[in-house]
Amino acid sequence: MYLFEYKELIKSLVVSDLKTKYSSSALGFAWSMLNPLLMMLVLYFVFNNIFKLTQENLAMYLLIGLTGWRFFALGTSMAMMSIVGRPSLVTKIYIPREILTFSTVISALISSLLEFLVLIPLLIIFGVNLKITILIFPLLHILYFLIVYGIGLALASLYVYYRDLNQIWEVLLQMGFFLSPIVYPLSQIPDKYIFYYMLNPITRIIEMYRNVLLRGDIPGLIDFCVVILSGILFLIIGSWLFRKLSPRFAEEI
Amino acid sequence: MFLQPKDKKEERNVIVVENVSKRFKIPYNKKRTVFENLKGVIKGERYSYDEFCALKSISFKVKKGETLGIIGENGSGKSTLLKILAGVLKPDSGTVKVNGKLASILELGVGFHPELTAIENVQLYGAIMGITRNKIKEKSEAIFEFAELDRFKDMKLKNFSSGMYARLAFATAIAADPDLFLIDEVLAVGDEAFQRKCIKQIEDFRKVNKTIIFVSHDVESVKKLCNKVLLLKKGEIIENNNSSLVVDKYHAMLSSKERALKPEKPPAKEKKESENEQTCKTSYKRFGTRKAEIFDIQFNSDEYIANNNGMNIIKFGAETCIQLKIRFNEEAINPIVGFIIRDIDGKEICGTNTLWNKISLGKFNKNDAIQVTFSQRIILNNNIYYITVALAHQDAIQFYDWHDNVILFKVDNSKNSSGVVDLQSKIKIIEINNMKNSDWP
Repeated sequence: MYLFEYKELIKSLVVSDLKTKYSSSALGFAWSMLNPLLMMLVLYFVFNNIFKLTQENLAMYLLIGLTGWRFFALGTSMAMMSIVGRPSLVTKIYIPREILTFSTVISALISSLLEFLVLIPLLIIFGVNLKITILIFPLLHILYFLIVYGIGLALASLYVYYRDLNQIWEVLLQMGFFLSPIVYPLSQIPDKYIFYYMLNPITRIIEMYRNVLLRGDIPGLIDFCVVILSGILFLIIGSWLFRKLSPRFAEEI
Repeated sequence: MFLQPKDKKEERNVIVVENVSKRFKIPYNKKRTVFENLKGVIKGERYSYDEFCALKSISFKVKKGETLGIIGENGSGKSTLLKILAGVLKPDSGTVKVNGKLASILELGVGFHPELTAIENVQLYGAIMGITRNKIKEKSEAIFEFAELDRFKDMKLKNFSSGMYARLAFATAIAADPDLFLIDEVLAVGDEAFQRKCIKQIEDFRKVNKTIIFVSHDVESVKKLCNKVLLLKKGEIIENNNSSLVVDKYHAMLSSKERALKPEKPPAKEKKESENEQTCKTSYKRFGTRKAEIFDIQFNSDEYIANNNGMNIIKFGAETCIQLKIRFNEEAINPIVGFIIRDIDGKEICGTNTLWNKISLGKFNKNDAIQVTFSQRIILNNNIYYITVALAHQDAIQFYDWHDNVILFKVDNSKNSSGVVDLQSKIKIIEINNMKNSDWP
């Protein structure tokens, strides 16, 4: 398995990726946290004062949704660039190309974990009663990682061949943002659509984050099953596609 | 038990390449986007492409401890072959077997990041080259010492000059300590001192029995470094033999290309070919108005050593003559005849003509013919040279017939001497007597 054989290389790639990401500006990591915070403030103002939404602890509800979504949006977009963005590592030396995508998604995962880490004191400040269920959070994040990595593999390999995929993906991400319960409560969805709505694994993931962090209850079994299954499914499809397309990467890039 | 000897033999072959072919598809109109593909499907366009055969059924073996050079013109498939050996490209058919740890340096500093410091980049590049983190830490001092960059350890790479960059990269790459090196023209960077250091390093690797595969345009350094050379032409192996033999053949091949005095080709085609060859400084070219023609060119020497594959080998100090036969297709007055000798890099070494020697050839009528002979002693040093001959109008502006690099010869001087010529200096030594200490300057 390439992941173990090349663990040193993966580590180096992730470390250098994070170093360049956070050391290139003085505020570094603060920026990546400021983004969801500012977004949360705007949305909080809009929904609290204009739409008069009655969601308990709306600010934290929004922030968990936004932080959760950020991992998906950033993780998949960065993964898409992981092959094309480093042509010399593809055309000038042989390393299993999955490593490039894997290390990119890992570095997105670490950024996301840091963001959640900042979220926890905020939760306490806003009067959320953190329960023992927070221990489920790492498990959730790993499952989420599988989904993001699976989709990332597919996008990374397709992007080598189709260079307008990033534009298309941007639009799809916009749609996904509004098709998941990030800026509005799940209760707003009409009953007749709820079955289809819940097919989106991101919906379930974000709701599960709120379960363990905000509400302090254990997510339902069905939620787990759907997320695990979709994680495995995406991983299989992504790996298959990647394996199929990667032999000609060096020619197409 | 019986298999044992065979296994041993297999082990000695570090690389076994069998029937490797590689084709590239060149689509007529390349579709790079989802949008273009959809448009193509709706319009009902068919996927049509041209095929370019970069390698045709290549087979060879490399033994442990061998240094193999790969040479050939542009587009002969050198880099494709190296990329297949490195595993970057997959062959369409055939197999490549590599025994042992391989490090490929197809480009220096693969994965170098400008925003990281030198030491961080060494760690990253080391990881890419497959060196463990601990080993890199151990070796980092040696790396910086070799690269002569000890003072700049913590400087960001973006502030490095390109020479510093190359030195750092090469120093890290060789620290990988593999059994097998693939090197692609990377020595062309850095100053001369560093290049010499790199070459010395490669020679040291040879001494400790490491296998090296080396691709370069610099044929002379290939000759110096490699004991075997593979000559590729249009994706096929022309020759796989001892380096000096193959290098001579390569020079002969370059110069004999479209060789002189062959029936003329249609002008359009000729033009196209010469465009392709522009990159090659020493290929044969012929041009001129042809109001008069050089129809026969001979190069003779009293001390021929051999004529190997179209390459004249001449002993140092030999008397040579360049004999040109000229036919006039129109009337001409005092035409100028001359020649130039160039070295393999295209640098002019010497040349002369009838005008400079104040020789008037006189007046010629249509269908007149003459023979002009230049005789000289060759005092050029060991190298390969090309002779260009020309016939010009008396104004020295209009050329009747110009044969660029028409003759190729190699000089063999058993004595060592530096530079372009050996002036055969006479050395005299006299003892000076009766000198007092106070006389010393």
